[in-house]
Parts: sequence; structure tokens; C-alpha cells
Amino acid sequence: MNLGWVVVMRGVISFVTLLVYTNILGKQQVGKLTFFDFITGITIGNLAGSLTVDFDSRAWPHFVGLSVWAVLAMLAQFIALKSRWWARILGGEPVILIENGHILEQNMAQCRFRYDDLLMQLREKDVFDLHEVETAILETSGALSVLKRSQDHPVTPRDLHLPTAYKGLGTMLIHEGQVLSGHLIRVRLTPEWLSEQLLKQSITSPHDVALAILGSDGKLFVDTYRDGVPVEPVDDQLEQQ
Amino acid sequence: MRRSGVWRKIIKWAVYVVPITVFVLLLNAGQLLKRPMGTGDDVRGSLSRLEESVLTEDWQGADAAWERTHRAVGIVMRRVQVDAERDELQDFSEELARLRGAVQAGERAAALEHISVLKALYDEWGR
Repeated sequence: MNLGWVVVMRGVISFVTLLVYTNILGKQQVGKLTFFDFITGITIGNLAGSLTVDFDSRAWPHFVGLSVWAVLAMLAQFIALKSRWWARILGGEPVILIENGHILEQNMAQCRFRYDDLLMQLREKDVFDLHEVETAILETSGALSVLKRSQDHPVTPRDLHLPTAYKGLGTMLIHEGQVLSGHLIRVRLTPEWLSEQLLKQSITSPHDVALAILGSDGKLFVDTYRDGVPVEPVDDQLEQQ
Repeated sequence: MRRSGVWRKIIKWAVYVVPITVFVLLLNAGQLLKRPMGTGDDVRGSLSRLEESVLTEDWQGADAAWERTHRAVGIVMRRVQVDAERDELQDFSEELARLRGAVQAGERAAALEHISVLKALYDEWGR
């Protein structure tokens, strides 16, 4: 038995299998995972690892184990989409930790949440004074959602009845020197228009452009490779400050 | 436009389904890969010929048959090793080594016992 060769073969099998299953399982962000998702991920990863290097048993049982976990996770996700009851069982429920400015100690204890944890998560939400908090909810992902008291909300243009221009998503037109023709067509513009715009900024070729994005306000953001800024190590920059 | 969308969907699912299907077949191909595919890789046949030589106490013929079996096992092992258990391959190799000892010593009973064990071990490969 050539162990090196077998590890390579099994490694390829587990890598591709994991890639396929994780793609099908969805695109949840790591930070948004519930505890159950987290444990499922660890178990599937562990099974893929043993599929690669555990020679004490055949590869097939590991492959089946990996597939069973992936299929069950998919099934659980699918049922959770249809049934709110099942979704609550799977991911738990959000818990209110602060209501009307009062900390709910019983809920804190139920979630095994300490005051230090609460204060830390509030600080991460830029809340340094508990008086500002109207409601705080511990989400199933472990993140804290905070609703500030109305008098502590920042003033918005709407509050001041100020007119604002429309602001939407920008469209990338050049990426690493390459003009994205499809994007240009989508925004009904031509390469000639783009060249003209670049010339206005003294840029003769799109190859000199690292990134160009057309904003929803019609303004073109252009970043060239030559920034004219001396490159210094980050440590040196920090020292200078 | 609609047709290209359908094709894109088919290709997307094929990217998922094809590798998984290939792996399922590969990891269950042990029984198939054990079968002789050319000359000199018929382990079961070599063991049977070895058994005949032992039964007639043709020890020179048995030794030559052992060599052929050893070579055939090497070829088949390379084919089935991806899915195989390390222990089952190691047990087979050890038993084969014991068989050579029995053949060289001219011990009929021991040789037959080892051949019988080897056949049983070989049948278990890829199951």
C-alpha cells in the first residue's frame, strides 16, 4: 500500500466532496451561523479529514458518513424553510436581554450570558452608555441587535426634511486593467465614452487602471496602479503617527 | 436566452452530481478492480494453481505459483488501495509470507491452511 498516493487520492475525493456539499448547503456567513450549524460544520469537516487519512477503515464508510451529515443538514434547512416550529428547534429563538432600558436577568441567565458579555457586545455596537439602549436582543447567531432610544438616534436628512440624490449600487467598468464590456453594455455606455472619461483624468490606457467604478450619480471613480504615494511598511506609518 | 439559462442550470448541477457519482462508483469498484484485467493479475486463479501444486506435493511448482501469486497481488493491491483498509491488505501480505514459509518447508497441511485463509481474506477485499 503506497500511503502517500492513497492520501493524495483520498484527499482529492474528500476535498471535492466537501466543496460540492458546502456549495449546496448554502451561503450563510460564518458569523451568522447558529450553534447547530457550527457543530454540523465541524462534524462534516472531521469526517472529511478522517476520509483522507484514516486507513484503519475503508474510505467508503467515511464517504457515506459525510454524505449522510450533509444530506441531513440540507433536509433540516429545507424543513426549516417550510416550518417555523422546526426552524425554532434547529436554531433556537432570539432572546430579549434589555427591554424598555431594563436588563432582564432571568433571560441573561437562561442564555448563560454574563454582564461583561453584554457590555462588550454593546460596545461593539458603539453603545458605551446603557441609558441609550431601549431594547437589546440576543440573536440565534450570538450577535446582539440593539435598538437605541429615539432621542439617541443620529439625525438623518429625513428628520431635517432635506432633499437627497438617489444613491444606488455602482457598476464596475475596469478591473485590473481589463475593460468589462458586458458591464459597459448593461449601463448603455461605449468604450469610446470610457476612453474619453479616462483621458479627462490624463489616463491614456485602461491597462493603467486598477479599478474603475461608475457610481449611480454618474461619477466615475478611477484608481490607477501609479498612486504617487511612497510605499512604506505599515509599521513605519504607525510609528510616524 | 431561455435555452442558455436551462443549459447553465444543467451544467451547474452536473458540476455537483458528476464528481459525487464518480466517487461513489470509484469507492465501490473494489469487487470489479479485483477481477483479472490482463495477464498476471489473476490472484484467485494463481491461488488455485498453488493449491493444486500443494495437493500433489509438487513443491517446485508450488514455489513458482507462489511467485506468480505474489506478483498478481502486487498489481491488484495497487488498483484497490484507494478504498481498501490498511489492515486487510497487511493481513493478506503476512499470510502470503507465511504460505511461502510453508511451501519452502514442504508442509502440506500448513500450506493448505494458509491458502484457505488467503482465499477468505481476498474475498473480503472491497466488500
